[in-house]
Amino acid sequence: MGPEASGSVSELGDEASIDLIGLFRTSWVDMVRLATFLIGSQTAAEDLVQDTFERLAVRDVDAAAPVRYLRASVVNACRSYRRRRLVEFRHRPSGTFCAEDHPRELLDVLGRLSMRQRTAVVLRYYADLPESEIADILHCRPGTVRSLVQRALLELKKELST
Amino acid sequence: VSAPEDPVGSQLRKLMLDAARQIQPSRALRVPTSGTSTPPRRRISRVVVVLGACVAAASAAFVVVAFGPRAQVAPGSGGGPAAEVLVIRADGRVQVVSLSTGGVLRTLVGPGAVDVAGNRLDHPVAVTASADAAYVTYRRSGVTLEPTIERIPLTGGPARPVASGIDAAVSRDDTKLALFRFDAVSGAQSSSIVTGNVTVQNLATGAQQVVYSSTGAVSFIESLSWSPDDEDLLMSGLFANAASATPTASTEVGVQLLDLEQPLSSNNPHFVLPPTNPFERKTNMSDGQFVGSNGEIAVLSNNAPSACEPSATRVLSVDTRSRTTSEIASVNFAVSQAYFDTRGTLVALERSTPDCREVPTTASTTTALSALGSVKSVGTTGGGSFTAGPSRYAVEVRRAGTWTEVAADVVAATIVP
Repeated sequence: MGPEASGSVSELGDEASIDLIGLFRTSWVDMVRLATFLIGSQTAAEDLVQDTFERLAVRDVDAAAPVRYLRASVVNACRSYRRRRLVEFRHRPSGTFCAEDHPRELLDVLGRLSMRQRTAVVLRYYADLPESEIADILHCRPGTVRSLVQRALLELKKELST
Repeated sequence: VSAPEDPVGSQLRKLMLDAARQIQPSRALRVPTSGTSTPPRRRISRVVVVLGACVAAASAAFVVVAFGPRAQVAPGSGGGPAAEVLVIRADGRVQVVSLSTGGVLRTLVGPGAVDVAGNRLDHPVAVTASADAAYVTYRRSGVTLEPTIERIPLTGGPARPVASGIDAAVSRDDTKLALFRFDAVSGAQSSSIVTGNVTVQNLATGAQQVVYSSTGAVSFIESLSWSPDDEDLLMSGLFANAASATPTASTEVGVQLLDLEQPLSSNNPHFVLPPTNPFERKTNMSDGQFVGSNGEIAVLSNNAPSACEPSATRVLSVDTRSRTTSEIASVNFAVSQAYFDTRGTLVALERSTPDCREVPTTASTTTALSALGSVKSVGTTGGGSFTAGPSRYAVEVRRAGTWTEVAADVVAATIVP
């Protein structure tokens, strides 16, 4: 996860129960940032992360790795959100997403990637996750993650150099 | 030994860290009340749940659109807090859903719940909401029992029965509940002789006052809406203007404005737009709602040949003095209700045709209701009982001219004011 919260929440895990409130409070900002990078809208990201927290409060959380579980849940929520937006695309004249929040330029650049590429890149370069953990979240092999990231970087190379 | 990082990757990492510092949540996390979590269940159960949800979503057919009687801002004005919609699921769950994401923010009532009196909270048919509570109408088992309206606090807490009736609308100050129901005519020889009454109930004392009575049994109020000052009621539905006349000649569909501060008269209530005859297949005005804080009125205009045939719907603003309209929005599907959320965004629920079926009641009532474009519930003349319609809806939100589904397979929905 991002530099500010990583580490601090990993100690909250307990085999019997999890301090969800502590987990939520320490992870809130980073999860909002992660979701913003994934879907391009901070407003929607805040709602999505809030939704995820609400669900985790009444459902099951992997007690051995709560942060990892939370992160995967947020990523899945973002992917679901994108799928719903894709349905909307069929009726949208312009065919473009509205990234109404800052930092717009980077979000616009990321928006040119496929959702799987975008997720792989964000988890790799923002969350700083190893390929194996990204593979778990994306339900694919580490080699596929490597391929996704490389193709995404090729796509981004032109954009980032301008 | 790891390979050196791609320069583009390094650049991207730096850009992301810089950008992350700019991303500061605009609001604090709302911490759930539960502080701990149980160990995980087996994954297969989640798969079953997801598959079940997919099947349920795929079978959802109806979409309804609704106007928000308690919208705090005028349509299109933007701003306001993140909007939420209260949805009633077919399995009885009452949930607060984010209009931004479609995610469930809170579940107020779960499947199989009971109220403080031990009544099962199943078979919900309608909902209205104040800033503090949801008022959900439940159909009781057995056709002879009237639906019960339960008050459910939005912050959580037990459901409590407060009234009997349908199509309830809570006043903006959460002190009065307007509802419609059929009551037996006093002194009538047969229990089948009923009259449709619009009743206002004081929520603090329970005192009730009939503010409008139909003059014939075929009258049916489909929706009620309070004015911002809680002094007027909009009544939308089917009105019979002569008890002795044949239904086809005397029945009118439209939206009437009732001034609660004035006595009933030939001009109170009155139609805000010329009513139509449901048997003539003309464009019908339905679901009149007060929108915003200045008492503007909006109605739906639908010319569907029947509730089971798709058609476009227009959302119209009504000038009550000139009895003219101006178009707020045109929707390319059949709409029976619409709301504007706290940001002024149009919230729509559409009902598609595959699951639509006529409700087998008396011929005159069924036809008239079909012409309204919506069958939320149907009154019969059998001793004041009601039968719920089979409607299922999906909540749709219009942003930048396009529609996004935020909830499917819902029985009813309303904006949280």
